[in-house]
Amino acid sequence: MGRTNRLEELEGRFSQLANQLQDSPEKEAISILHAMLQESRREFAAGAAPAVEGKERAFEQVANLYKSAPAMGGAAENEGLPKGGLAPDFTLLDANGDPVSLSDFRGQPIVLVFYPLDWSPACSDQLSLYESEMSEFQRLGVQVIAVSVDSLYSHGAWSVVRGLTFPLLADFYPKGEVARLYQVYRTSDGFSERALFLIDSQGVIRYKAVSPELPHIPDIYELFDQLRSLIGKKASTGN
Amino acid sequence: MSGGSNRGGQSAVPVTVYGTRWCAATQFVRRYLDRLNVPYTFRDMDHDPEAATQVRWWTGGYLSHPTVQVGGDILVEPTSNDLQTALARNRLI
Repeated sequence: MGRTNRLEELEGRFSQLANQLQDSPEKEAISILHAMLQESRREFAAGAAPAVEGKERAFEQVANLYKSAPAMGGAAENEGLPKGGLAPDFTLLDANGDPVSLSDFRGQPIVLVFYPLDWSPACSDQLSLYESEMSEFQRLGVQVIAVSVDSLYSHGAWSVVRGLTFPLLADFYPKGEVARLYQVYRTSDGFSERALFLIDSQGVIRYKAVSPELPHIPDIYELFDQLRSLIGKKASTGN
Repeated sequence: MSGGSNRGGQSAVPVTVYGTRWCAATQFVRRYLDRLNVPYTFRDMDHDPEAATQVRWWTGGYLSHPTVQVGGDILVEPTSNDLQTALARNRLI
């Protein structure tokens, strides 16, 4: 038996013991030891990478700040604009200070993302997830636009740190005006719900998702299902 | 629920993703495996108490998501580098 197979066999036996042991300090201790072993194995594998120092180290620390940042929570307070209606047009500044309007993208589907705040834990993972899907969005001919109440300067820094290439728009002053327009502004927090609107090439809202809890990220599989359905309908009607 | 597609023939090391549908990191891992065409089973910890129990057993009591099992490797909240290393070690990529 090779080393990989032996480990797999041992791990399989260990896994099956979960339900055979009564809860006790001993069970907890064994569980902690297992976690320590796996973490050691992971660190050993990562140890081959060269250490990062100086400015690169500082950049990495800033990039990873979100992992230790205070958690954000709260149930949804708003339902958002209903699907079926026209998406209200708006103009906001992007991180370069250039005005961007929703209507600039008329003629192609748009995923309009409202998120609470730059630098926060769940938002960092959410927008990185969309960045990792850029080639798929591009293949489907879809434009992603993200909006929060942060300033354009915050957006600029955050875009660089997270490697985001789609527009981040500053709903900064009057604060949250566009979030209010889409009925997703949380007055108790001073930022928006976590919400998605899928807008078709004619400017009609075809799908919306408002997260029931702030840390919850809309299901990317559901979004792609909706997108493919929208694109498919477009193709089948010859528009 | 399974994602990805079978690589055909040879039975490969099983991959299981333990997570939730609303967790961005879980979604990232699932889509990463999709793109690599690595077959996996997804276990939704919100609706699968046994999956949650399993993860707590592996992690010293934490409900960490995603937790990914690649053969004998248990990866708790892995980076894409961690995943890539484990997939390569188990000859899945």
